[in-house]
Amino acid sequence: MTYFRKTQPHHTMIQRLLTLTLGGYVISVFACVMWSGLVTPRPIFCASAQEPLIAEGEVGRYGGRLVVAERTEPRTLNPITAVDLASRDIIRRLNADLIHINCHTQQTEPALAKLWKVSADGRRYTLELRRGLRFSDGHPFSADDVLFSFRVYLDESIHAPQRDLLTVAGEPIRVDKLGPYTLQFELAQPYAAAERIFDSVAILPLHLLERVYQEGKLSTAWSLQTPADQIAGLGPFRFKTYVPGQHLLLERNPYYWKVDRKANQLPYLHEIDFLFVGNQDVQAMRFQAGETDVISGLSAESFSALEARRHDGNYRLYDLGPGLEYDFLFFNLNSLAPGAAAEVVRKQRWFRELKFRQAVSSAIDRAAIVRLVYHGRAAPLWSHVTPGNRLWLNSSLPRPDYSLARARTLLKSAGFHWDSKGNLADANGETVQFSIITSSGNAPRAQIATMVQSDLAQLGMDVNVIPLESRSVVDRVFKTHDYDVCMLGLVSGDTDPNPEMNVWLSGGSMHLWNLVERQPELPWEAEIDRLMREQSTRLNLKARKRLYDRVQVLVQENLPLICIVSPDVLAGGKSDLGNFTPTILGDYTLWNVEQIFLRQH
Amino acid sequence: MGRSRKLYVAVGLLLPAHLLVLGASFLSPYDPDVQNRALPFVPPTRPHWVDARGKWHLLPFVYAYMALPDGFAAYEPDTKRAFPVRFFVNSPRQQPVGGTYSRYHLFGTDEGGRIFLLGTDRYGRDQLSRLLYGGRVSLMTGFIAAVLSVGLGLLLGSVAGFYGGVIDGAMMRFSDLFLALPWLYVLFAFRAFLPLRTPPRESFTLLIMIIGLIGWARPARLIRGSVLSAKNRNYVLAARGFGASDAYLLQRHILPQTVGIVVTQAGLLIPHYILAEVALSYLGLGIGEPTPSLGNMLAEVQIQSIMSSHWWMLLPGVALIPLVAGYYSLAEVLHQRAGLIHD
Amino acid sequence: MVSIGSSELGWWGKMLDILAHLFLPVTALVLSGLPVLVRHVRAAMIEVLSSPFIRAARAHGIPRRSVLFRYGLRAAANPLVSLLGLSLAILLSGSLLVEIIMSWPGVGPLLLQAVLTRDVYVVVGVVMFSTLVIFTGNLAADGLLYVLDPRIRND
Repeated sequence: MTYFRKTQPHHTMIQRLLTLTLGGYVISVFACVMWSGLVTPRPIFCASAQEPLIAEGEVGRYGGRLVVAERTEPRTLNPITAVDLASRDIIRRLNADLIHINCHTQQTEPALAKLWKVSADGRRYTLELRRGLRFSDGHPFSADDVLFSFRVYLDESIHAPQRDLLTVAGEPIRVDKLGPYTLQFELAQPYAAAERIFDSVAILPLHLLERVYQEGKLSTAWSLQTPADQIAGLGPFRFKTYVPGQHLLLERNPYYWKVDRKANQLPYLHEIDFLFVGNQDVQAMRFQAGETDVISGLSAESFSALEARRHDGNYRLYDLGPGLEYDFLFFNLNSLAPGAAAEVVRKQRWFRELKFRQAVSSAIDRAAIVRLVYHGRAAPLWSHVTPGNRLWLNSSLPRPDYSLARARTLLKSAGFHWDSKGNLADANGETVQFSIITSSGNAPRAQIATMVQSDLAQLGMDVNVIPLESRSVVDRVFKTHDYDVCMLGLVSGDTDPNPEMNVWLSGGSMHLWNLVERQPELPWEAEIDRLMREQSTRLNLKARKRLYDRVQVLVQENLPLICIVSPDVLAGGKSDLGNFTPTILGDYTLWNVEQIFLRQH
Repeated sequence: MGRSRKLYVAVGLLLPAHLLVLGASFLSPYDPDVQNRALPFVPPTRPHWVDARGKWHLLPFVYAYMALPDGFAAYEPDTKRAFPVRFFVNSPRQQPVGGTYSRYHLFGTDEGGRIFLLGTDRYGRDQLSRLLYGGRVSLMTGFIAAVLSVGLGLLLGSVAGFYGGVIDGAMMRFSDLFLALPWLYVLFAFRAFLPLRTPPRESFTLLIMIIGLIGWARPARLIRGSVLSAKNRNYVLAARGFGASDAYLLQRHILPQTVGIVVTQAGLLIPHYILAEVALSYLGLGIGEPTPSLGNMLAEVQIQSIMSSHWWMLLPGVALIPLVAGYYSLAEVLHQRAGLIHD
Repeated sequence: MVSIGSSELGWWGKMLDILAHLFLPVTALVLSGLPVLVRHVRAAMIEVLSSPFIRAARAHGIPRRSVLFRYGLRAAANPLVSLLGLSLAILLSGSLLVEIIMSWPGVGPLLLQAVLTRDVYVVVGVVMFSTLVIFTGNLAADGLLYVLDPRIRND
């Protein structure tokens, strides 16, 4: 390279191009950062209802947009066909129900029905609706809409998920119209939590959906592509726009029927923006950066991270204590046909042995799981009723400590022994080896499974954990029954034990550990069946609690499920949100979205 | 000059790494799946030579960890409890672990003390032990898969080159397919068609087979070229004239010509496959818990808060650097030695 | 991939927004692929720069930078353009992991989800799509090489 010496700079084409590109890139990034061209639309205010509901809560100010992150995209806006969580979250903001469960007090309160009377035998409920209410498109509301809604939900050909909820003792509820604003509901037998079945049963507009229903196209109505003016509801917000893959926007319902104590019409917010953010980690990061206003469903990991950086952002974090979710382990106790899955049948000899299950439960270090997986933000469980359900928890249940010695004693008395290598073997000399399937999408559950595996290895059991995607897990548990042990979690929708009937009844659709049986096979199963049926008909709360306490004792003694832990409900919101009170029920943060307001915007 | 320097660099990177990994059961102080549940996310232990009173010790010692009451995974050295670091420790077996392990360990501490030279993970498992055992798993996967690939390439390439004609054409078009597709996508596609989770031993074999099946095309091509050119050499024709069978020709005259290519390609494929195993395990599709592997150790740091607060969890990624760099240097040296490129 | 409220920006704003979000993934991919390219270009340049026509150009007084880029690089473009086609395949594989880590809603996370949920049709579709991209890229690289290098045309 000795040919070259420095001469005056002569810019070639490539150099010019490079400079241009680099400069252009820098300028455009800069411009993008400085860009702030957001236009806030102006909301509409209309006359409020004649008989509004007065909401208790701080009086706020109007305006602003709430940005909420959703992990998955909703699939529909139709209350009849929505089964996924994201759709249901959004639909609950668009619709209202007759009697609502206040997530904070966990009691029922009047919603669209301003008062109701119960007949002496507890079977007939007469509801009085509020007068002068309008749907979000201005059309007046009357008992005809309620009648239509219930007709749709109870129609067998539609298969609405609400039908099961509105069925008491095998018979659907009967609705009669007694006047333009009066309705009567009749149950087949007295039902303890009859008021609570109206919660979240959205009232549909007759004027928009009747023709669709008669044409038989109701299940395809109200999809996400429907124009906003064809969707109407009685909820605090109405649908505005949806951009697939990005966000869904709701705007204020100008005809909403709730007011605050100073007779200002609710809601305060002008818009709610549901953003579709990928995973939990990214959600937490965006919340920390101040891009979203509200976050719920936080993992303990993200919560600790957000807490550590609390001073950088202006948000508040809430640890609401254990919620209604319980994570548990259950063994495959289905009576399988002799040919199918001989491996599983062989292992069921161990699983059916009560002392084996008790030994497994005794060997699980729940305190360590709470500490390591949830950073202390969870409660160890010994029964399926969590400490978050204060009303129904049997507080006198024994709480045996983690004890490997006790587990070993139990196994020895059940005929197991340890071979020369330290592996556990049964009376026939077969080493105990099984696999635990769990859903791979749930990181805490996978971590619990790893810890359980290590715990059981101390007993000499050869356990391996198999994370599968949820569809595969559901398939194995519900259809093929081809699994050894499964780790899952359930969330009750309500504190009341009645919605969980199909978990505990022997023929129930969620009787996870033994879906094959239709009749109880063991005396304690028959006892649980009897107790659950009886508590659903009694109206006296104390009597029901006594019966349900006994159910919890039986579950703990016989361990169809080995309950492990109940995670805390963790949520967060910006500091300048007013009336923001997350709860452990419902959708945690937006249950009172009509009262939420921004203190400055 | 440049050549031997590269060789020294390659060997200097690879030899220590392999020795460390081969001696995993001796060099690691603890078994890789023993959980110390009271000590999650412990930062790397610092050995001290000067104690709190200022006295200087010949052999290093470590302090016990004291968990701070507030917060999770916050620790302070407890200066009142010091444990000397002992060498050639005889530790009893802590938990049954598959594979080889020895009773003797290079270093350790007394009962009650813990020496975590690279910290611990969420369950309190020693990261150094997991790194060594995990490196062994990742390296073995890469190695065996590379051998499988090159072996397959050798078989198919030599058959295609030797017999020619239709067989050659068909095989080369088939290999075109594998060359055209992006390897990671094909890997994922293979993975998708197989059961998502199997018991650890089977998943290891499965993984090796999948990874080995994606990269045979390039070695096959190169070997075919070499076989083609060797097929028409004079001495081969002469041997054929003397009545040598095909098998004899291949074994004695033709295949030895391909040794250079085989070794070079293997050298290129091994780091490639190590990275493939790491990618699969990172995304949860490879080796499963509790067996450590460089990939699934890195999977923990997918969560951003863990990556920022516990930096030692990233060390498996750092450990990959000398491995991959060493193998690439080695491959280049072999390439040059084989005379295939001129610098 | 986009900021909040980006649907309200004009098309120019949207583009800038996406460009800003592209910065990190592109940097990661570029840095991973750069060394190989640099090496090959260096080797080719060394070869080209020792040829007589470079010496003649310099003797004519053409400045150094101009000789390097205008004359030398043009002649050495052959391996660079071939590598362009080849690196497309490598970049595509690399982008799979980069997209997953940086939450870029590309083909990478789609493929991962499909594998995890055993949606084999999507897997097949994605692999075919990526193959198509590679084919097109290689074709374009070949075409570009034909345009750039007259020596190939004459052969």
